[in-house]
Amino acid sequence: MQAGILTTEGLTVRFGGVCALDQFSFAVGEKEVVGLIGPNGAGKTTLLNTISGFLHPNEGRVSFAGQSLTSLQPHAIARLGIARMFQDMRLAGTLTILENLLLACPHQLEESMCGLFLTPRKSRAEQKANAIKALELLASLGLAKERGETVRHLSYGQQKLVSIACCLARDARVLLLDEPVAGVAPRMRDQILDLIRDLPGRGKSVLLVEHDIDAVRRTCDRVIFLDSGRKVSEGSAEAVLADRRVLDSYLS
Amino acid sequence: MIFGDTPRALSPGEVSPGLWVWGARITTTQCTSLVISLVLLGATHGLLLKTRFGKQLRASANDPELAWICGIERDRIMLWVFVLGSSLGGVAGILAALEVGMSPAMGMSALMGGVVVTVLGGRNSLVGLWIGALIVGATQNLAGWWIGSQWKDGITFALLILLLVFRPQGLFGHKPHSVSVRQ
Amino acid sequence: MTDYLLSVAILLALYVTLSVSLNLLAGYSGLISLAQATLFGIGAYASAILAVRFGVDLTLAFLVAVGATIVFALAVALLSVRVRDDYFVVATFGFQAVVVSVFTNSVRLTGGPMGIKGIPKPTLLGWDASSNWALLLLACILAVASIAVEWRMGRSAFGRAMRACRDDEVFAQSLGKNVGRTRVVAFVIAACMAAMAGSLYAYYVTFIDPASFTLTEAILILAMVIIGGAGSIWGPVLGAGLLVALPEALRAFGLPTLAAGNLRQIVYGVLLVLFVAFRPEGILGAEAGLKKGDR
Repeated sequence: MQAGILTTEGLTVRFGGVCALDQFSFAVGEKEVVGLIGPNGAGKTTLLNTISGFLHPNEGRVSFAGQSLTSLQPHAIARLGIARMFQDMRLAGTLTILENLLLACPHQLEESMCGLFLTPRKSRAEQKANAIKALELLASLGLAKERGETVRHLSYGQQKLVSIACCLARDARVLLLDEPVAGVAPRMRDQILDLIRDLPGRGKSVLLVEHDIDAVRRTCDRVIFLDSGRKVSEGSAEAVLADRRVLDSYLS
Repeated sequence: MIFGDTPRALSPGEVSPGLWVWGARITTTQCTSLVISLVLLGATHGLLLKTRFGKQLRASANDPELAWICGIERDRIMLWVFVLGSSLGGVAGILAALEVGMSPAMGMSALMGGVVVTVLGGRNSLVGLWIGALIVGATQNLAGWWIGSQWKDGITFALLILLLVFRPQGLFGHKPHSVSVRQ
Repeated sequence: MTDYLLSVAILLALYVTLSVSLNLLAGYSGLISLAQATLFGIGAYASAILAVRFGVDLTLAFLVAVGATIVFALAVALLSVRVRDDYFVVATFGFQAVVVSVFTNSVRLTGGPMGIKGIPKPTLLGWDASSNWALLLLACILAVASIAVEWRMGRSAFGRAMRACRDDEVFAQSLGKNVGRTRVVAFVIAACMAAMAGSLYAYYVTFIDPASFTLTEAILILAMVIIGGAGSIWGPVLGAGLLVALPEALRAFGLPTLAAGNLRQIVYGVLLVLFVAFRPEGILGAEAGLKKGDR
């Protein structure tokens, strides 16, 4: 088994007759950005779903920092320190941008009845601290002015940003990002890619699913090429993108 | 107010002795009701499966967005669905009234029986409807016979709850994809 | 005249409590439940049975009512987790039908369709709470407490979590929210409110029968929430005020009681349809409390 903070071993996921993931084993190391590329239907999102607990694998294991994730509920996995971004936009639509970010903050005493009614002052203090953090994050993404906007009234690009912001606000050790720059304007795209590039410096690891090859080249330490549920190629970005098999089935 | 609170009867005309079938007596009214029901069910079945309208309806139910892109006007179809559904309900009401009389609230329990049948038979399956209806009708009356007719409703709904928890797709429906993420 | 106003006031206070309790479920959590009137009924029956057979103090009656109701509320909460979203309403409909069936048919326990009569007036820790004024006071305290709880919950991180679970369950889970537990908590608190309201109701009217806790009642409470504004703090209060005051106004116009009852249903039905069609967020709701967020 490969070493790393997030590993899968022999992961197999089947839907009826279709094998979405086939004996897939890989590892994401500490402070590393790993890119995952492959044609549509290759199993990339299935992999993210399985890691984050929304799908149960037919075979194989997922481990995070030595702990097995396979039987855990999605919310428990999120609490362990894995943050997930969704390809189809998922946000709390009737809440504001700020509220969505506050939702994402990991420390929330006020979410339990005890915290809410028995220790109101401590909970309130925590909420204030969360709010400050959230506002800083929004400012760094240029969303500070819009923080009171209801999320479902936002444009696609803005919603995407909020999505990424929520991931960042989680303070997680591993981030699973599903096409973070798809459909985003160029300047914002650069900003997001720089942000991703900074994450290992802050002690975090990233598994990045993308179709944007340039984005992958800019941000990833390692790249894995996935096709029909199988790992076809793995290595540095240059190596994988020059690989004959990748070129044949994906790039040309 | 207009029609009054008390239940009323709907008379089919003069009483006739009816038929003997397998040791039970079936009145002419019941026969007529049965025939009319079967004809209407068959017609609806045909409408849904064979006509263009039926296909559009099923497409719209299956994937509203895609159907809309293909030019199917969902609103117009939904309008007709309601018209048809309500009409069928109306006919059912008349047939029921011939049997048990009418009262303002008679629709409720019939409706809920209908919901149970829909869930049992599976939302997408027409064969399921037929079989579901038979099963629900039989269960209701058998249960009423064995346990006491005052528990008929309670049993029907307990069955409904069990179905919703353990087998929401009913007998013939497709297994719904779980709340989890779509691909 | 005072007696009449008093009775309206008590009913208003009880309905405020009920609609606030349903708001926690249908408004904030997006769980449209037709079972709330039944939970109200379980609280009423529990207290009534206790009072008639043992003549207990109000505090004990409350405790037992709440305990019994929580058990059933947990059953409904379980349904919300195990049953698909679209079918949840249907499941709660089934649930309330089963419970009403039990109310109507368990003659030895609940008096069957005849109900329970002669419920004695309560005492509260020795203090004689038998006068209608005392009951009004208790009902008002309950209503205010319910609003206060709703206020604290709605504006907190927990309220945010409830709304997130309503808008997008999967997203909420990815942020570490335990959707099942959030819903169970909401159900339990709503059940406590409904149970205590049921208890007071039983003591006030001194005679209860299954007819007070049927689907019609459930839809009435739901109408209060929707019309007033689901998901807002004062919406259910406004809704309760409107829908309790309306039949009294109709009565003031001299319509015979029975007709007023049926006319009431027509008016509520029409109002409900109009609001859901043209203003689903209700009179007060700033956010569309019942619609899931667009994706």
